[in-house]
Amino acid sequence: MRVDPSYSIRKEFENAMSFARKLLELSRKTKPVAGSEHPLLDFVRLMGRGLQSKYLLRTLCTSDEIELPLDFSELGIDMSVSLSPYREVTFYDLVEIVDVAEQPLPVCRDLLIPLPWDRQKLLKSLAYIGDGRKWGAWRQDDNHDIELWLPLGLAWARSGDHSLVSSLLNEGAEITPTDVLDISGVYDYVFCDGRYYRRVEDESIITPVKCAETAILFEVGRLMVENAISF
Amino acid sequence: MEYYNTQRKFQNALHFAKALLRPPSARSQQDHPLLDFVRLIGKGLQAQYLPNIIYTADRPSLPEANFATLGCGMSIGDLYDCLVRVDDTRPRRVCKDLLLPFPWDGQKLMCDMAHIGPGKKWGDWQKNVNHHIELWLPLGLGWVHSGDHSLVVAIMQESAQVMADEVFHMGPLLETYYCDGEFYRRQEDDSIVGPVQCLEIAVLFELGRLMQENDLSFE
Repeated sequence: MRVDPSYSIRKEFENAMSFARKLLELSRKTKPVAGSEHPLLDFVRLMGRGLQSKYLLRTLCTSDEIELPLDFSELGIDMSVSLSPYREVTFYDLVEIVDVAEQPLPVCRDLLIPLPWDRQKLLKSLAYIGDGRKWGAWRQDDNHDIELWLPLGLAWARSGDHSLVSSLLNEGAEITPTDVLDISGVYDYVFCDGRYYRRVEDESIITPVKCAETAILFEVGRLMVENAISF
Repeated sequence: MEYYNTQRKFQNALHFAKALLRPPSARSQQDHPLLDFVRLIGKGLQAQYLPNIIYTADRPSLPEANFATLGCGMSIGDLYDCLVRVDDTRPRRVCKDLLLPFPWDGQKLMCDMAHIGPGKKWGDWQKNVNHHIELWLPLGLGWVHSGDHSLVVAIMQESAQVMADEVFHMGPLLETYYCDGEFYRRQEDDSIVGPVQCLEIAVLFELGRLMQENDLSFE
């Protein structure tokens, strides 16, 4: 689609962050009834849908499956590099595992990010999974490995990406994560300015922003931490 | 990063769709996987339109969301000559993955997001006289003529059901034109009507044809 080229990823990032901040302010003024969802969660879901569809369409429209991103490392921050200039701390050193054995958290379908890379597999999933189809309605099984990040609610498929696409279309599907991680600790070490992810300690560059949605979601996560909002 | 041109992507997507027609797997027409494929493409288009004003702040950067603009670039008059009004009185639900509101005012969108919803100031989303939605069969695409901003909230709210105000069938449109991924052309002499502006709409247009040929429709 012909898109007005006057907006760079950085400008989009800044505009979206300013929208999110104003939305936060507005909802503070209106004081929603207890128990109602915070409007910022809807904003996160909107961004999640964008991220989800972008890469799904890429797989649907590609012919040879090269250059399809497979995980957060390729969309956002490289998980293997150190996030501190002074010592070795990687992304996973800074997250905390949340014990939800008592009360499993459901995954919000707008925020589930499968990154299907194999067109044949995706074809089979779509053709056979679903009510009235060969393999029946979508059901979660051992093949599905999902990592849920709090407070954002973003859920990355670690395996089962192809059949998870079917779950996105099944309105009643209940999806539970394999692991729940609180990524709040990462915000003390990383920030994003819309062009680069940088180390907080010396502002050195970790990696350039490749995907606007991922960058926006990352920084909205900080707003959620600061305002004690969580999925 | 663009590895393929629009036409190549169009062909790949349709190739995928046609492969979905092969296995005789679904029990009923309503369970057909092609309908899921249409929904996925619809979701993709929607994902670009819904947050557009959030990214651009002052004015949207996408073309207007109607087929005259996004499709072959024909006039509104010519377009409606090629659509048949479906005049039954039964209410028709619009699949929310295929509903295409285009919020153009960031302030309005922000207000609706903050105020509409369970437990919020204006309460649950409800359809009112402000909403005008035109449904195209067999594709199931819902064009929004008004009420764009609050319909974004409706899409996000699982319980909200969106009904069509007007229903048209694309039959004559599909008989008159086809799309090859680069241009929309006239069936009778292959002459060019206009270039493809939007990959997803081009794919959806030809998916409409596949649906019609295979007796599939969003009801």
